[in-house]
Order: sequence, then C-alpha cells, then structure tokens
Amino acid sequence: MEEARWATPAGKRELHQWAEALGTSDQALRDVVWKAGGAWLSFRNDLVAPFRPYLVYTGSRQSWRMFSMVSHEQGQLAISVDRGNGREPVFVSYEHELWRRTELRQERTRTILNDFFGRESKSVWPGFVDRLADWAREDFPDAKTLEVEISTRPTPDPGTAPEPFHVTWTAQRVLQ
Amino acid sequence: MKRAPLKDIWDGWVARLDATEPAYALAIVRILLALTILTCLLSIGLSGVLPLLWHDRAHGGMRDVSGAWWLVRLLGGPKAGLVDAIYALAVTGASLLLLGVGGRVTPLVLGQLLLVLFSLNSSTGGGHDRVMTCALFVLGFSGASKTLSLPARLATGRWLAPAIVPSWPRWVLFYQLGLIYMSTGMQKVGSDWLPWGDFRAIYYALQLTEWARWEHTWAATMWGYPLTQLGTMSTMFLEWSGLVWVLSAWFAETPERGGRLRAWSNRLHVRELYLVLGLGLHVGIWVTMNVGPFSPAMLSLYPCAYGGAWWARRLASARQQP
Repeated sequence: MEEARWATPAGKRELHQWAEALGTSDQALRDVVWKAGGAWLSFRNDLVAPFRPYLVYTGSRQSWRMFSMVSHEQGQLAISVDRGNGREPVFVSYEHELWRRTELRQERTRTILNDFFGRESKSVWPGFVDRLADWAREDFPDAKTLEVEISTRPTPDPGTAPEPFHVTWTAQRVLQ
Repeated sequence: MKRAPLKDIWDGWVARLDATEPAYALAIVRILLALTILTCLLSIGLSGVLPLLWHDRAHGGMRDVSGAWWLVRLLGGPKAGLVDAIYALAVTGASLLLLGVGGRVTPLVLGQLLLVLFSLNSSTGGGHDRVMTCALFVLGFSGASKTLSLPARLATGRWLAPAIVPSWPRWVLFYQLGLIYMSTGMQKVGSDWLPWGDFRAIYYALQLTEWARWEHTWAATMWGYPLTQLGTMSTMFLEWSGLVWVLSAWFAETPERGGRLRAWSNRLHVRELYLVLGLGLHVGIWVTMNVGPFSPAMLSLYPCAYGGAWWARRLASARQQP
C-alpha cells in the first residue's frame, strides 16, 4: 500500500466511487480500508519473513500491479528546441513523433513516462531532461535551448471531444 | 489394516514429485523464454537507451542507479563499465539458453544477471521481469536443455532427442501462471473493470499515450467501444479463474482418475478454451499496446498446459507429415 498512489486522481476517484456505492464517506472508507489492508499486509509480511532471503536471492518474488486502476488522464510529452527562430517542436506524443522516436518509444522509456504522466518519480525528472539535452546537443548543434513539457488532460469519454492538454511539468536546458 | 490418511497424502505427494515425462514441453518453454529475454535485452541495446536506463547520472543515466543488489555490491558498485559487462553477459546467457548450452547452470546464472540489471532502476521495470527470473529459477532444476538443444543434437544427431525429465517443474511453472492471472484479477479493484463501471477499463487503457502503439480512435466508435467492453469482461474472467485452467490441465492429463467434474471439464475441452482465451488476450494486447515483455513472457509459459507426452506425439506426427 502506497500513500502516494492513493492520492493520485485515479486513487481518489476509485475511493469516491466505492464510497458512493457503499453509502459512506470517502474518508470513512479510506480509514477502514487502510486499517484492514495494513493489518493484512503486516500479517502477510510476518508469514513471509522466514522465506524472504530465499525469495530475494533466487529472484522468485513475483509482484504484479497491472492496471488495477486505469488512469482517466492522457499524458503528452512535448519536446522543442530553439535554434534562433522560436520554439520548434521535435517530439510531441502522437502528433509529431520525429526526434529520437526509437528511444522515447522504447518499452522501458514508456514505463518512466507513465510515472511522469501520473505525476510520480519527480526526483527522476531532472535527470531525464538532462539526458534529452545531451541528445539534443548531438543532434541539433546549432540549438540554443531545449524545452520539455509533460501535459495531461482528462481522457475523453466515447463520443465527446477531447479537452486541450494542460502543462503539469516543464523544464528548460541551455544547450550552448 | 486401514492406512493413515496422512501417509496416503505423503505417498501421493512423493509420487507426484517422482513423476517424469518427455522433456519437450519444458524445452519449448526454455526456447520461448530465451527468445523473450533476448528480444527484451537487444531492444534496450539496439535502441540506445541502455545508458539512460541503467547507468548512473554521471554516465548518461536519468538517475543514480541502485547498488543495493548483493552481486552489484560484491563487484564494487554499479559502475557503467560493470553494467555494460553484465548486459553483455546476459545477452550471451540468453543465447546459450536458446541453444540449450550449459545445462542447468545457464538459466540459474542468467537469472542472477537479469536480477542485477532489473535492480538498477526500479522505475523502468515491471512484474514481467519477475516472470522471467522466476521461470529461469525453475528451469534451472528442470533438465529443459536435454532436447531441442545443440548439445542434444551433437550427442544424438537429432534435435528431437528423446529425454525424460521430472514433470514437477512444468507444473510449478503452470501453477505460477495461473496464480499470476488470479492475483492480477483480484487486484483489479478499479470500478472500470466491474459492471457498475460499464466495463470501460480496456477503453481507458487504450487511450494512454505511453502504452498505446498508436492512437486508438476506433475504440470510441459505435463498434469499437463494445469490443473494448468485451475485452474487459474476458480479461476479468480469464484472470479471476486463472487457476481453473491449471485444474483443467490436470483433469485432461489424468482422465483415468474419473469423477464427474473431471469428465465434464474434459468433455467441454476447458483446457483448450482457456488456451484460446489467453492467446486472444495476449495477441490483442501485443497488437494494440506496448507494455514491455508482458505478453511474450506469459506466453512462453503456455506450453506447460500440455505434458511432455502430448508434445512428443504432436512433434512426432508433425515429422511424419510430408
């Protein structure tokens, strides 16, 4: 159980929907589930404790959390460079995936983007932007700055028009 | 004199562990798993993201990687050169596993090498990594390289060399597969997976730009949306009842034991129904989304649904056909 995951928009939404279905308040349900979940995990951890070294060293610990709560927010990564003529988009999710697509669409890069779109792993964000700046220096030697944005918007329901993206994180690096 | 029930249970357990079968099922698992690991590793290396993912910040990484894993500590910390060397060894290990070279040692060593790599940056992994390391650990005790391997070919002159191995590793792997499905289903508490959420989970999952292979506008159409709902329902059914598949495979392999449930399961071909459902789920995910080696890792365990004797018959009849 992770406090941060409960505080995500998806976590709050699910808690609200279950509370509504059960006829209780969000806070009351949260307290009960947190207490019961904590007690269960504590019991389970005590039970597993003698086997933990075996699980860790043999690599046979199996964790899984596959879309337990699907996000209702779409994310977008937008990267632009300035070569003296204003902002020039070089990568925008779906719309303009030209620059370093292989790297940015690699399956494990997607994992970190998933965290960023969910406003998680903020500590990794500066390092990620630094690496993009390194790549931009190689590919655009004449560029002065690099700007990277993470934007989100509510996922449109079927038959409804999408809202515009809103920037949640932004970072800039001077390239020369 | 009446035997103690505990003694019967113990004898049954010993007999189960003593059971043997032709090595084909486990050999096919070995080959599929090796291909999955090779593809996963080569994709990282060839796309040029290895430093980004697994080097520390001073050497092109996005974060200071973890040096907590015992083998990393033993080797002096997660230096870029060491990570590159372990990566190269892991690629070599996966190639040897594919060829069946190195017997039981190869999967056990490869598992440790992958554990080093996967421990470096927890932000870039997932449960699928553990499927691979768990399966490698079990394969280390299986004798899966005794057939469909280079050493078997050199020793017998045949790729399909006859070899008998214990059957328990296959059952452990198949049980693990069923358990993963069931626990994943139990964790799907989001209302989008449930009737009162209109079974919208797959629709929303397809709209996530980081996982979708392309923009799935079709999912919002009159015909596309019900398809996504059907996908949500069938995913939940397969996952919640994952262990039923394991039971149906057991029933199919032991028809002589009798019983109504067994006869019903075998008559309805429940094992085959789950196989089709699972293949549909993973091929669907594979085509529409890129969620890492999730689908290939799970599919590489699917041959465990059938025993070595079943595979021996199929492979023999395939060879006899012109």
